[in-house]
Amino acid sequence: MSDEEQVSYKIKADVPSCEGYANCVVAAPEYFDLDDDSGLVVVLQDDVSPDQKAHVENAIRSCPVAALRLDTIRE
Amino acid sequence: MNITIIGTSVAGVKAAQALRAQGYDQQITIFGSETGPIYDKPALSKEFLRGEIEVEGNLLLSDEDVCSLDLDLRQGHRAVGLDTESRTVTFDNGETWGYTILIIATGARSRTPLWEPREGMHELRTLEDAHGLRRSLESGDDAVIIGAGFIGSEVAASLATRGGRPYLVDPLSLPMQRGLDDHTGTWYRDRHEAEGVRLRLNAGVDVIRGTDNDFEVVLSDGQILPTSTVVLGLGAQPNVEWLASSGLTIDDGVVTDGYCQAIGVENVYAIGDVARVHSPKSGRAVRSEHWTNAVDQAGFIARHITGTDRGGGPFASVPYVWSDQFDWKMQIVGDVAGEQRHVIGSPAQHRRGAVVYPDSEGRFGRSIIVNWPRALIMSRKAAAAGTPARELVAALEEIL
Repeated sequence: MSDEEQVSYKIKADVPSCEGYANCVVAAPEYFDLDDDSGLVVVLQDDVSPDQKAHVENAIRSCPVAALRLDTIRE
Repeated sequence: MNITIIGTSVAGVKAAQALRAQGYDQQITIFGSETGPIYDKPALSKEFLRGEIEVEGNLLLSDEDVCSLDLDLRQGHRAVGLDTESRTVTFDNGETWGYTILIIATGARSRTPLWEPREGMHELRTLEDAHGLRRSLESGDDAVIIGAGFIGSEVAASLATRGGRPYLVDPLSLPMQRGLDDHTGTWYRDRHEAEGVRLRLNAGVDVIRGTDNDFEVVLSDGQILPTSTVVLGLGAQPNVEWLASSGLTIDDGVVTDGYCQAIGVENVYAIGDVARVHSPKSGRAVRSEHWTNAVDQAGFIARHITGTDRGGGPFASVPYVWSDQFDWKMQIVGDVAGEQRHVIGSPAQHRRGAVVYPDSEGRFGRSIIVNWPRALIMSRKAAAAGTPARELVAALEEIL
């Protein structure tokens, strides 16, 4: 990776896989919530800066049904 | 420098992933006693048992993950000994392995039953167990399930959903009585009965007669239940025998300090079902057999080992447990429950319900929630913030 390369990350949620455990909401409430009616995940902001990557990955890893992932964006 | 993880279930795998996420870039070696795909366990009593998914849809760690995380994965290795002086682990094939930091994540196994094992008698803990049970049920969904804990109740619900009429036997008076309270236990008893599960509560098992998928389960009250399949849901015991001569403190699990570090030795951690971690809040060492607890401890030690916890203090996490039965999703937050409780709604009448317990000082202690996402979020936030229970109860009554 060159120094000039800008790396950022984007949250992708597979909403139909979500079963509403809310582990992501507890781990990173500034990124995730559950919809009141469906009980399924809502991504509040999908852009993740490098300094927040480990924090968001921690939330993603806590999903019991692996409905979340973090994509790397290189620009 | 190498970090060695013993165990390829949720605690061990999540620890490896968390270490990478925290930037640890040196060697990670994971040993597992099983061979084959590295799978997750919660679905084994539910979607997998009902035949709705196969193991490919239930992986904890894929081959691609092993590559992308640069993990040194060694399966088919059962650890049989630990020497904390020489910092080595010995395996059943005679191999010895040196570690810099050791993470013990050997989990728990089904409690040994009083009855001699026979063809058609199943535990449900591993993928192999689940395959065996599925095969046994091919001839029909009739089964006697002994033990109405979470797994036994989930198996009963799965079989009833497929049209079976399983027996569910337990010496206690309600299903999941150790994990629920009598109010929510009654919700579940009634639902199981309505779905055709034949509950035999307040009943022990005297003897299991027969063999080869042709059994008679004789209950303590004299009833005889004929069946082709017996499922044993008797609970679990930690896999600690391999540590007997290690010098670690073993007492219903590997006893650790508040940082998941084994007492009295350096560079040895224990996490997940096998670990009994000191809780500063209660002053006791607690062993928890739940998925989220294993994930939380894995993340915690990864931050501790990499020094990214910024002196964040000992492990603290509000217990979170779930169980899916029929179309009811149960979620339990917290484990502090006094005499007082507040019941809001009921899944049979309102499609959703919750029971909230204050702790001894009136703050949030515990919620048992059925089919109510907002109540779950609010309870988990109340637990984290120490909100007064009555505020949570008022807010839930408002939105019921």
